[in-house]
Amino acid sequence: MNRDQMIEELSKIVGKENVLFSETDLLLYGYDASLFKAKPDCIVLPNSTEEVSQIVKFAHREKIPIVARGSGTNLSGGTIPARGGIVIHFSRMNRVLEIDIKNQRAVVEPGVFTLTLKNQLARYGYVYQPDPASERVSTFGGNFGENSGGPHCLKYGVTTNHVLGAEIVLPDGEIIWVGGKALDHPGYDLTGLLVGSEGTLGIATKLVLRIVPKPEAVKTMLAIYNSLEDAGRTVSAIIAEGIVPATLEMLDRLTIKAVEESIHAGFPLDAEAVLLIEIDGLKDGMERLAERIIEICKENRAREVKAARTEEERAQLWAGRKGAFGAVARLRPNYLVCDGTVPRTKLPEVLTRVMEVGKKYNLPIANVFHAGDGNLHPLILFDERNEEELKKVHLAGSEILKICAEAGGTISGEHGIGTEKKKEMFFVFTPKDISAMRKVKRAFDPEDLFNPGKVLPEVQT
Amino acid sequence: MIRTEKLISKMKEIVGEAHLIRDSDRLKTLRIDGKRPKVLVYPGDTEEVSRIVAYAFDHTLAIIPMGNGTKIEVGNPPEKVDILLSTQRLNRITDCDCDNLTLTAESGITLKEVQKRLAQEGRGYFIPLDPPFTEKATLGGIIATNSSGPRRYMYGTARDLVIGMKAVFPNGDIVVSGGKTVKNVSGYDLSKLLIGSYGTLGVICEMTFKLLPIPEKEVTVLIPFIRLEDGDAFVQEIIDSQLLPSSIDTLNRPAMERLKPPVSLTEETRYLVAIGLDGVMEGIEREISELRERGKKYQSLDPLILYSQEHQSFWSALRDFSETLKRQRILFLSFKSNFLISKGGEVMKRYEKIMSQTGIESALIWRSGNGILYSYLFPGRSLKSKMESMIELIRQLTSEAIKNEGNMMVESAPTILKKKISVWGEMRPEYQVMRRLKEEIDPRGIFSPGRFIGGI
Amino acid sequence: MKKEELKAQLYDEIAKCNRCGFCLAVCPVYAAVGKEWATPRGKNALIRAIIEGKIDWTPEIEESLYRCTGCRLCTQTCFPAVETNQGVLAGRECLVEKRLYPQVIDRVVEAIENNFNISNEPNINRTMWMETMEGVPENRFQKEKAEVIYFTGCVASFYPMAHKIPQNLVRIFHRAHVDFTLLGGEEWCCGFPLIQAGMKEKMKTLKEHNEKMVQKVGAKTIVFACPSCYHTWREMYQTDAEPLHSTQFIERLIAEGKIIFQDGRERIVTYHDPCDLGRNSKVFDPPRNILKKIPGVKLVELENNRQLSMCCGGGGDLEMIDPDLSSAIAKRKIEEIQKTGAEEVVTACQQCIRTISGYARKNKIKLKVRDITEVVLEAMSA
Ligand SMILES: Cc1cc2nc3c(=O)[nH]c(=O)nc-3n(C[C@H](O)[C@H](O)[C@H](O)COP(=O)(O)OP(=O)(O)OC[C@H]3O[C@@H](n4cnc5c(N)ncnc54)[C@H](O)[C@@H]3O)c2cc1C
Repeated sequence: MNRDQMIEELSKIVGKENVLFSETDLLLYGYDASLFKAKPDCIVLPNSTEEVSQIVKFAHREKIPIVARGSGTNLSGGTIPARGGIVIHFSRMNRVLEIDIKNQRAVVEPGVFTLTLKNQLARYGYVYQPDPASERVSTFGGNFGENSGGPHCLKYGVTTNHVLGAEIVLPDGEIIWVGGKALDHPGYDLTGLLVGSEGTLGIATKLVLRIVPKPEAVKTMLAIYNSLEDAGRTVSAIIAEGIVPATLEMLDRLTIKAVEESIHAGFPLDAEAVLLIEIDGLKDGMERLAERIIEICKENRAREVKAARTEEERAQLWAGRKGAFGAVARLRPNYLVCDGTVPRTKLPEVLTRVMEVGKKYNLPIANVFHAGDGNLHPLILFDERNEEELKKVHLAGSEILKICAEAGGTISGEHGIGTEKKKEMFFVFTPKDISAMRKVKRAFDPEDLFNPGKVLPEVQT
Repeated sequence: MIRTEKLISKMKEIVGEAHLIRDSDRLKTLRIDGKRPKVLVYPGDTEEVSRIVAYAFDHTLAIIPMGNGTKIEVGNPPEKVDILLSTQRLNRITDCDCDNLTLTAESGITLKEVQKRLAQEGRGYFIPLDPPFTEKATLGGIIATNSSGPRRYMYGTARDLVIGMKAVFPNGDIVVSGGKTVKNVSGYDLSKLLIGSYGTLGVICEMTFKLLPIPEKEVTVLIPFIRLEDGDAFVQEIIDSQLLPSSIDTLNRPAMERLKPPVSLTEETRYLVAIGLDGVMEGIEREISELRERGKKYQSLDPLILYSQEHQSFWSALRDFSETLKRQRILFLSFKSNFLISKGGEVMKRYEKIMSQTGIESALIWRSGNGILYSYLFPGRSLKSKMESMIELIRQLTSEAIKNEGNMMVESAPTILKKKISVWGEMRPEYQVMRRLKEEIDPRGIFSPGRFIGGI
Repeated sequence: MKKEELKAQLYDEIAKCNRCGFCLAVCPVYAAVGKEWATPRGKNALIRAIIEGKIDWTPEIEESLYRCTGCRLCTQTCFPAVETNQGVLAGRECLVEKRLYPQVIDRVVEAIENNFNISNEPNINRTMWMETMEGVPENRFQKEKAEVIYFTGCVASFYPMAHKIPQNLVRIFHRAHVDFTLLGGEEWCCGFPLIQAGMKEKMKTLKEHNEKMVQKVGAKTIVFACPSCYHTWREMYQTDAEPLHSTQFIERLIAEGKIIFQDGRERIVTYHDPCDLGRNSKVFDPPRNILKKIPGVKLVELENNRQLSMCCGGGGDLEMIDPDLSSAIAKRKIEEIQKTGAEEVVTACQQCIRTISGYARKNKIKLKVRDITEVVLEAMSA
């Protein structure tokens, strides 16, 4: 079908003003927060499930690829229209439909920013636990697509543990519900399968989320180190002790520098690493637990452990953590973030090897990551405009993922495979594993129309 | 017959003479809804499982995986059973990495054995799952049936605790997903698909779990009520509070009587709210006193506190409710209903009413923090004559759950009844996708044919 | 501006944008439009694509770049602090060169070129706001030498809706015995609208003229009630006189005991930070300090205040270029104001008042929107 016809058909569904197709718009919907780019054929902004369904039915009939897009902040090329087609941008479907305190559920449209719901929940003393650093702009559709994590996911689990159901538009345009407000629906756990499927199996048009009363007490501590390994060892030691804090985040020297230049978060500039440790729950016994954690930090040669004294101090520390990716652009214009994840016992060893990769390629590496989960985020710093450097960066990134895989870990903890890490899938999976996954894809999307070219590498059969 | 002979000789070749049963008398005791398998095999490792499955695939033979069989009765009567595949010899702990708070083990080992081992490691760990059949349930069986227990209120269920899996798919492929990292978004989350798949998509051979340290202290608070409304209001308040119980179960009188709690309850007690508390000393003390206070607001009778041994045995009796009934050879039907959390009290009340109208005694255990209700019915011996009213009863109970955004599945019932009802509750449109998944993954329909929802 | 110049000036700045999208959450234009072209990230991407020769100037780029209020909240919340607005303004200069810019701009430019102000009035009428004022002295507040110059600004001078501001401010000056003068017909537009239009080079004559006039009076201080004039002066002008916003100046008068407040009515008031005053010129405390000194006033903050204040929708010529978009943004501002429960919103900018009260009036929303000068004068005379 030619593009003019396509635009005309889509305009009939969503109205002319909600279909974009100029060269400029195609460029604007060709990127996300990764280093990849491609071009869609057009962009639509639906306002309802019904419209999404009609768009998809049309695309299905005409065999046009579809890419769902929230804020386009994913880091793996997840919203790059690799094979062109239609981008569905969910900015119009951004209503919080229901906050159902009695049943501890919220129902949202996919375009709602994560933090927007959280701010609304605060009024009821409730929280939605997952907290990606990008929460203020990431959408629930994107969180759903990537199975996003965040600092507090150490204790509370990632997005998949908090999405209990969804209204889904299937690749043929059919609308179904999976899961729901109640738990344990009979049948396969389609919700669990769909979360993290990067828009390749179904498009969520409504999401049912678990919300819970906010913890009674919280305590935030900052442990300061003269060596990165000591910080890594502390993380291993805390976990080995059986303590699962609410968060256990690490920032290294380079990151601290960048953050402190952006905002004054209160990280000491002369430290090699800091750990941001938070515990929450009942107030009783919290002091004792904090003391034990401080002891472990000291046993692992922490220079100092400070506790946030006020809510402002706590907020400052977190602001620093959440803005860390952005802040490193002060050092070099661009960064590639590797999302490799390892067993927590392997942290010190893997960190050392990661830094060696930086040396090998002569590229600065800043580390800021969910240490308690073993989820590394080495940020390889460079200038995208330098093509030589860009090539080196991709090689270094891949090598880091290899190190993680070899340490018994995996290539992505929360950012997704997208277009970026397809090759590296073979670091952790066999062709048989991949073809099993391919079967799932075929069951949902036999014609490969939803976000084609993502997640699964080609395998020879 | 020739086919059977060939099958058996092939199985012998794979697992060895000693590891299969073909004796028809033995096999008779292993009938599933009346269907007798042709052979029971005990593969010794995943490789053997793969070869067995590949053979079944090539010859389109029906295969049903089984652990210790504690839940093998759940589901529609199978269309066909050729091979019963026991995981009993897949019973190794392959990686116990307590420092990483993970454990990987094969599917045939019992949870009990794993917990025993974990308790001895370092400061003491456990897998926070407490499903029924404490003694016998195997890891594979628990995961394949998505079995859970009271403590799911705090710790979640298999979908929250299993982070990696190795399974043999219907074409014989050994497929791995996830791993031993607590976070993982590499590829599709096939573990989620296999959890609760009841042996219809393949054989789960190995799983990796998240671990936790054994809590410093565990206590049970039993809070008796005369009126369900009060118990319900109390429960809703606790759920909405910042207290952090590990479990909240509400039992009706018949459930209490059969359960025989280790302390005596007063005559007037009609409902018992049982709250499990896991945590640190200081917290538990305060929670006990708060529960007491909050209970009073809703006319609770005097609470009872159970410690250590009493605490343990209360919950294991509760978990093993149906196992005990089975051991006592009491005929019962059991259902699992799900619904909105806040509607539990209402649903329980409606259920009591509907059941009392049929004049059949019923014990109810309401997992109050999760919106799940387990109903046990004791129809006595003359089930046959009551068949019609049973079907009607199931219909009513199901529609009650559906009205509250849930559904109801029949967990155990005699085969003749199962044939006349929808064991898995009412089907929803998402069933179409389940069906397609089944067809893609198991195109020849060899795994537990017909047993699952909608005859999958 | 030419592409080469754009590259030299901004490539490094724009290259710091990693498309993380944090700006999407705060950009008032994106909140209203919901399309990527409206986002600061998108604007950076377009400028970058132009620089890299991947795309040529298009009407869509014009639409995008001319829809920015210049509020700079994106930069404020951007960790590498990418100066998107600088890119936007430079981009507009390029667009002007290509003759790709909203036609309405020509009207204003023509007015400025002909009249040295943004209205259709001859500049001699700069003091027309005195027409409805009583007790105007014969010299119409103009003398050859004075300590202080009050730079009235085009909007306050020529638009009746804003006349109250100069009227009130000169009364305050008068009562506080400030030795001040106006420039009258010799006050020319500060050039702000031209910078926003992408025609910065056209402000040269204006600037030279204004600087000369100020020099001539020999004033120590030059006071602005318009945050945009104030901001422009601070960024672009060089004179010996210290530029102060009226709130800063009033705060000094209070400290010197020259302004004394009588009792006031008990009421809850909220304060809206004008972008060009707050975030862009860092004047946050003076207006608050003034309000806190007024008896009876209880100040409650907006959810987003100070550095994080949300634009009213009137910034950066937007009201002129796209009134519908401007009022969509105003709507959100009003919702935020209403959430505070305050009966009155005070601000320190004629443009903010115009956008906020304009929207409220059109949509029949009851809301009292006042300039701080009015509140001050009222408390002085109570
Ligand atoms: C500075 C920065 C910090 C970050 N920090 C974290 C972090 O701490 N933890 C973390 O996990 N991630 C983090 N991310 C990554 C990213 O923000 C998350 O993946 C986020 O969930 C993406 O949300 P989005 O709305 O931008 O989704 P998009 O990028 O628009 O989409 C992401 C994926 O979801 C799919 N999708 C979108 N909407 C739907 C829908 N309605 N139905 C089905 N699929 C859909 C898309 O097709 C795509 O595959 C960070 C990114 C940045 C730039």
